[in-house]
Amino acid sequence: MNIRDYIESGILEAYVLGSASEEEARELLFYKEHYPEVKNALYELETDLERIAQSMAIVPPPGTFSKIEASINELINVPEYEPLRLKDGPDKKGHERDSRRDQYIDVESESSHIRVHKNWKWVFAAVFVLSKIFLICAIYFYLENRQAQQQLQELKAELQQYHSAK
Amino acid sequence: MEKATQISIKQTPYNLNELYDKYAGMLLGYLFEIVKDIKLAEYHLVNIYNILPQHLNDMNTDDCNIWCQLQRLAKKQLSGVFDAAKADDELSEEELNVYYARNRFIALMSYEQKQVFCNVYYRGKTTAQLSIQLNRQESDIRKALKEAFTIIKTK
Repeated sequence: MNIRDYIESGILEAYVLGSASEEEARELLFYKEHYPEVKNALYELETDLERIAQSMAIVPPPGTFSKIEASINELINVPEYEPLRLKDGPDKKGHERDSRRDQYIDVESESSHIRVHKNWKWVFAAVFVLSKIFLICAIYFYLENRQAQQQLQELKAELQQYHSAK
Repeated sequence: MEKATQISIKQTPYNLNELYDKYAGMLLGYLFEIVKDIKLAEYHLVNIYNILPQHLNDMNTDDCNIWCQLQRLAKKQLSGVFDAAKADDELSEEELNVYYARNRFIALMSYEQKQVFCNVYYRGKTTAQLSIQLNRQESDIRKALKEAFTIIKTK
């Protein structure tokens, strides 16, 4: 096949717009690998397509990326269950080998926060209110007790005066 | 203790942030031309970027323009919208006019070139489907598509 005819046939245009069949796409990728002319023509078309899109771009409303981030974070926070597998022996340093640790790095280091169920907030609120009530009661009874002690001291003093006067 | 979030160690040329900064505007413009509703276009944009992390490795390893891959992903995402449009026959002159407003290149094309370009670019039709719909040889459809691109290139 004449490669110039192939480029002129419009198949490259159909491919960059995603309207070529799978067979045509496979064939094109083969020609792209073997013929620099096809590769260059395809590059030019892709650049043209990008130019059309650039000329018609609309700036996304503010907050759009936050929506995307929020959705992705939700997906990330879904717990991932590890498949059951036989344990490898400890390595030379005596640490357990973990193949997932080998493939991934921790983006967030160990968190210093804990998560509790929402229902606990009522328990914490009740504990807080009760602690305030106990504190007020303790202060009240302390003052009462101190006053009673003072009165007792006064009575003792009066009683001593009375006995000495007698 | 909270489960630590993890990410693949493989370094990719593009991350989601960069893809958003560079292509979100283009993608929103493209989606708007298809659905003709900015809110709906934004909704599809968010959905496409949500599934993008699953395709990042492919996008970065595939020797193909990122915008073309994004556009294909958008077409896959909008397959429902396209299926509804596929029921329609040939685009009328009024329907074609809808696409003229923001795409200055379309106005320079002949009726046949417009018909082919708009159906392929905005309605996700294949050249085979168009050849049946327009009752033309597939080679003629591709030729019209090539001519449309020549107009875009020269203007």
